[in-house]
Amino acid sequence: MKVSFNWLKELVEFKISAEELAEGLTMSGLEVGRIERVDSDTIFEIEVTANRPDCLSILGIAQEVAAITKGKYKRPHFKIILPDTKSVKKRMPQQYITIEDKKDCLFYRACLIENVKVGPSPDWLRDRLQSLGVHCVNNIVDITNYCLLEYGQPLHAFDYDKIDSRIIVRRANRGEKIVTIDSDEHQLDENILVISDKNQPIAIAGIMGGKDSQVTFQTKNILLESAYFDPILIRRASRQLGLNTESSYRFERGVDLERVKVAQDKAVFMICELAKGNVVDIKECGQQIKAKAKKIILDCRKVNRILSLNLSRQKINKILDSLGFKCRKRKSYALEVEVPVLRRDVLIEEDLIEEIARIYGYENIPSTIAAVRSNFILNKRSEQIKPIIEQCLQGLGYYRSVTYSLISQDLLRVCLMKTDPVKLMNPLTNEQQILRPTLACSLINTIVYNLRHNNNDVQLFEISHIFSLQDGEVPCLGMIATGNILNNWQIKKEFDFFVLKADVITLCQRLGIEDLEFSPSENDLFKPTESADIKFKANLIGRIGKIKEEIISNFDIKSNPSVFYAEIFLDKCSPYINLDRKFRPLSPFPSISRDISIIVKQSVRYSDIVVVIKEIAKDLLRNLKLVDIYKGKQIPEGSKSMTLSLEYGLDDRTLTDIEIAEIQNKIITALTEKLEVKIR
Amino acid sequence: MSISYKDIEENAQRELKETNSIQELEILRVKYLGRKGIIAQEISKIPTLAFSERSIAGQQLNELKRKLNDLIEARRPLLIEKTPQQKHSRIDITLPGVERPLGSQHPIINTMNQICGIFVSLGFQLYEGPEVETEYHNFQALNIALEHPSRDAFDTFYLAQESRYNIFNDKLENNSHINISNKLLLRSHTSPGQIRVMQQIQPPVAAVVPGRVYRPDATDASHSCMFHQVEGFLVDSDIRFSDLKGILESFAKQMFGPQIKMRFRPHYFPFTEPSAEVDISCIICGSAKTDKTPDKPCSVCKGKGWLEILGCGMIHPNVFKNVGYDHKKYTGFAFGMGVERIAMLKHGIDDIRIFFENDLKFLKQF
Repeated sequence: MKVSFNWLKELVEFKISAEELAEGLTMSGLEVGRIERVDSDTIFEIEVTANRPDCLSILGIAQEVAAITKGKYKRPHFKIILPDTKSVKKRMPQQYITIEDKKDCLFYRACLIENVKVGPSPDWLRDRLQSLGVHCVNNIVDITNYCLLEYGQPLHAFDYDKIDSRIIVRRANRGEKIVTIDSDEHQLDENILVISDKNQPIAIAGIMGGKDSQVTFQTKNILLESAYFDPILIRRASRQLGLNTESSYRFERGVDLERVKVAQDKAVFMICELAKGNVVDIKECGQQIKAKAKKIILDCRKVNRILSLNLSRQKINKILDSLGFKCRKRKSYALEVEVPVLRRDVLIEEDLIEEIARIYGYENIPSTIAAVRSNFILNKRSEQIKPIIEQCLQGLGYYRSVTYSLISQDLLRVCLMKTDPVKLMNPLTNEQQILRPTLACSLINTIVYNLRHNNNDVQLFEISHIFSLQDGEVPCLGMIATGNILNNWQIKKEFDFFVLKADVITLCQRLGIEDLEFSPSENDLFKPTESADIKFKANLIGRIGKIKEEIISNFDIKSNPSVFYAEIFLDKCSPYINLDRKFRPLSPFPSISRDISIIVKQSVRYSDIVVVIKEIAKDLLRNLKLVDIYKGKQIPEGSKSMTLSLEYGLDDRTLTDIEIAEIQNKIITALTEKLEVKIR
Repeated sequence: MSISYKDIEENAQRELKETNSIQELEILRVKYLGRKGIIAQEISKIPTLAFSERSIAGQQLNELKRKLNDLIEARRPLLIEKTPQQKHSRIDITLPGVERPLGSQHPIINTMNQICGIFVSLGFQLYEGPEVETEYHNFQALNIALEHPSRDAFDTFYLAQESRYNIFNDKLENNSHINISNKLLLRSHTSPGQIRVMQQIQPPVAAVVPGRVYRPDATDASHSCMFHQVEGFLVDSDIRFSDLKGILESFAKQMFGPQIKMRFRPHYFPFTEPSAEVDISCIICGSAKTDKTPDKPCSVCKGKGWLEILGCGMIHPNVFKNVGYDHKKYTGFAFGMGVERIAMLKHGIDDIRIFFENDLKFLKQF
């Protein structure tokens, strides 16, 4: 809200400069965002918090200024002009105003002013309004705007002769329309409160007047409206219509019932002075509930304890007094505080403590360090392991990425996802309307983004929640890679399924999950021949594979790169996480390595061979490594050659050559018998 | 007899001068000093000599052996420098290193971890709540009235199929208070985490809640529909506003450096009373309104000298009532900060969107 420094000076006696006052306002809760010089005045742009509708007026700000500067607050005085009953020609008829539902409009007051001379406002009024960013229209409208700025009470002036017979405060009927003074047409419905005459809406209540009934230079008689409209109703209507005005801004924060009258009286006074009108009638409708001043008992010891201060009761009394609170002594340490009716934000003792703190100055409150104590908070296992995952994957060359949890339906479609996703009721754009069911879509999208930006070798991971209707929200790890894992003048190695597989295994080992199983799987995401479920003890904990070429080609990129993706469902694997490490003594007896080279049919899987070997070698086998795999010359069609390195050893003695030869022979025999293996 | 030893010495010396490489020197050494070398052969002949000559021959041969050894070793360093192959076999150390890939942490996560780490070191515990929340946790429990302008700052995404969404999935959470009819939404701040912890644990309690939050803000350089926050709070029997100041000052000094200045401005949040916004002295221009340069104001703080970094306050008694804490017995403070803003300030980033693009050229800088 814009506030004039000169105007404040008229209302409060103080000596400090505009800059000093701005600083003081900021440090007491009315943040001055910008200071601007306009002619001889200084204009503050003040951010008023939602709890202080009383400060949406110069008088409200003046009260604050008085408290900050300890200056005297001079309430403006003016003559209340009552209807001139003698020279009356016109009057509002009986029952002129009707409020259909008192909940929508607590109080409505209309004032009929005759024979106004509509014209331009005097310079001082124009200057003041213009410096505060208000567009000048004519003296009547300018006066209503001036009183709005002064009291925070929106007023509206109708051309009385354009109103047909009566004023009804009612909900609009569906299908009704109104053209507002900004010449926009609005479709109305029963959620919107309107001011209507006998036939049609003439204003959207509390938001904007209608064009037909607006005051023009031809207007002779005016009806000046001042009312209290229900804040929630105005707020909803303003949002529904997308119409935010100075008026709606104040009504939705709640105007002050006292000021409904006072502000109107001031406007009437000004209209009589500046537009030479005669007040002929005032009509009130609705109950004017006399606001009762709230009383709060304030324990001064509590003030000093919470703020770590040592303020006397007199000092506290003085601060509250400067803000317009009335205090009476209670016991030796307490005050009974009467809250000004305008201060509807002050309800409890803590609210008063804030008042004292902010006027005394937050900067004058000391800093202390409390002992930080806490009972144990159980955090989810999947959250505890994040640092381990982060460290491990960064070491393996993956960059942490952060992508939006909200994705488009289109991205799901492009990624061939056929799930029924969790949708937003009120998305802002189509780009962000779905809570992602997997990290895959976003990560594929990110890979594509990088490829388009000439980053061809990319390894990324993300840890985030994924969402489904059935399982709700679960934490997930996604890893994705494309291009080369190594690309330098010595080695060039492309990323492939097996690199990603090894990274998954390494990561799980870090988490204490050994012996993962990879079983063939088929799904929409992966190329069927390069796809696997990741299981631990027969429980599905993730999946891995090469992204279908079809998906990649759905994105408009020139090349068709191989992209590999793995995801681990962190909640599914968290029961198996074991971060305790028990030391196993190192064997003093050396291992002995032997190679076995075999030719085996193409259909035989590596894991089949491992099973046979482990069955025979049992505890003697310390380690088993695939050294080489070869297809081509010297190897029959449909077969492959494999070289395995077996490491034997015992913890209590050294194995003899004879023992090892015996085991090797047994293994070879078993492989020959069970898998029709030939030894090379 | 001694003459024949002289010959050996002279021959050896002559041949030594002719050696041009370490290899040749080695051959020479073996020829004379090897196990079957000339000296060894002569020594083996000693028993065949007359008894009187044996000890002299032994002495002379030992002397000769030592002398030749010294000469050979003296020549060795000269040959090392001379050997031309040696120069060739030195690697070109200016060739590029052979890189192995090393990933990095995302600057947002990094900043978030850094913030949490400071509070954890002060004794706060980590907790992470769900992103899909009930309207109750996100608003009512925090004393935010549903139809009040104070909610303007908390515009919210709601879920479309809330009756079908399984919010009870999380068995760790105490969901007993969730009313089935409660609307589901994407949390618009991390403060519901405060409610969840307080519903589970009686004071004293101190926690930080990091995580993603969502607001329907149109995306531009400083707005994103998704961003990160860290919420923190402490509740105990005698927690004061001054403790809030002290702990946040300690945080700011650790986060931004010991020279940082801090100021608390009164503000309004429905869930705290008294409430404050906290500014730090501008970390770019460093001036906290001391030197004004109106012609060239700092682009980050706009010449104000201060940067707003967080909101905080003493937890409102209504919040305590909502979670079943005795508000007469306990007091506490809470604070919340936006991670992106702090990361942008720390790294000098001026567009929030770059965080979510994940361009490798960006990620590699951190």
